[in-house]
Amino acid sequence: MAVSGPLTVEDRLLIRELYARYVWAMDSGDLDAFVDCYAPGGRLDVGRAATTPEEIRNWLAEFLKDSAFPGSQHHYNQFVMDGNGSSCQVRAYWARLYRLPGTTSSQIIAQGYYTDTVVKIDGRWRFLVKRSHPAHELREQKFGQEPATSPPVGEDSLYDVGTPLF
Amino acid sequence: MESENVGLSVEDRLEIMELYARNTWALDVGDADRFIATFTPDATLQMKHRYVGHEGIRWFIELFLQQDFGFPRAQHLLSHLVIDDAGGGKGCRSRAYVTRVHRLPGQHRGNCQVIWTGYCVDTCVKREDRWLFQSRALHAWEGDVMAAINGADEMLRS
Repeated sequence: MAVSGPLTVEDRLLIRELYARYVWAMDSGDLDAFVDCYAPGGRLDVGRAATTPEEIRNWLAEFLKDSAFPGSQHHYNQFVMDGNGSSCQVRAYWARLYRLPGTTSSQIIAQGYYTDTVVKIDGRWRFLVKRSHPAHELREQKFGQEPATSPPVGEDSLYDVGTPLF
Repeated sequence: MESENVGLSVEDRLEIMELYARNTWALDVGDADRFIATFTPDATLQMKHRYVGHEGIRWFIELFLQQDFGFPRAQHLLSHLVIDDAGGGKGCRSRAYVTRVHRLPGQHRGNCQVIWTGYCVDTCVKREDRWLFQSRALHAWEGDVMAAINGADEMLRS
C-alpha cells in the first residue's frame, strides 16, 4: 500500500473547489456533475441516505422539487480539514439562500453544518461521505465528539447581544 | 466532467483569489482607478451591457457609482471560486457565486439584506507577474444556468 503524504495547501484549495463544484451542480440542477462529485462507494446522508450513483442522482432530482428551487443558492464556509494527502475529514458551515419570487432579494432559509469525508482518487478529490446536520445540533453535540454542557437554566441565548454599536 | 487544475501553482491560485478581493473592494469603496487596474487594457466587462477596454470599463464604473441604488452601502461577496487552468499557468477560466448585500439606511441593526444573487464567469491572465481580468461577466442566478430545472424562470417571476 502506498504511503500517503501530508495534506498540502494545494489539496486544501482543491477540496474547497470540490465544494464549489458541488453546490454549483446542485443549485443549477446538473445531475451528472453532482454525481461526479462522489467517489465510487460514496454516500450522501442529507435527509435520507443515498449510497449508489443512481440513488445520488435521484436524490438531487427529488431535491430540485423542493419549493425553494429554483433560485436557491447554497453557501459553504469556515472549512476545517483534518487528514492527509489521500483522505480528509471536512467540517463546514452551510447556509441556504432563497430568492424571493418576483424580486432580486434573497433570504437565508436554512443553516447547518456538514461533516464529510473526502478522498483523492487518481489525483482528484471527491466525496466519500457527505453528512448534513441542522444548526441546532451545534448545541447538542460538539461535532459528534462529546455532548456539550447544557446552557444555564433561564438563559435563552448564549449569543453576546452586546450594546448598540453607534 | 470538469477539467482538473494542473498548470496553476498554489501561489497563482491565491493571487487570483486576491484579484477578486481587490476587484470587489475597489467596486464597493468606489475606487474607479483601482477597479480598472484589475483589468487588462483590452478587457471586457459584461454586466447588463458590455464594456470594452479601460475606457469602456471606466464609463461603466463612473456611471455605476453615480446611479446604482445600492452604492455606497453594498458589499459584493464572492464565494465558491473554481479556477481552471487555461494556458500552462498563464491563464485561467474561473467562476464563482456572487452575493450582493445592502445595508439599509437609517438603521443600526437588522439592517442588511441580500439584494442580488448571481455568478461570474471570467478569464484571467498573468501579465508581468500580475494576474488581471481579461474578461469578466456577471449574471443573475437565473436563465441559462438553471436550464436543467424545469420552469425555472417562470417560477422566479411568479
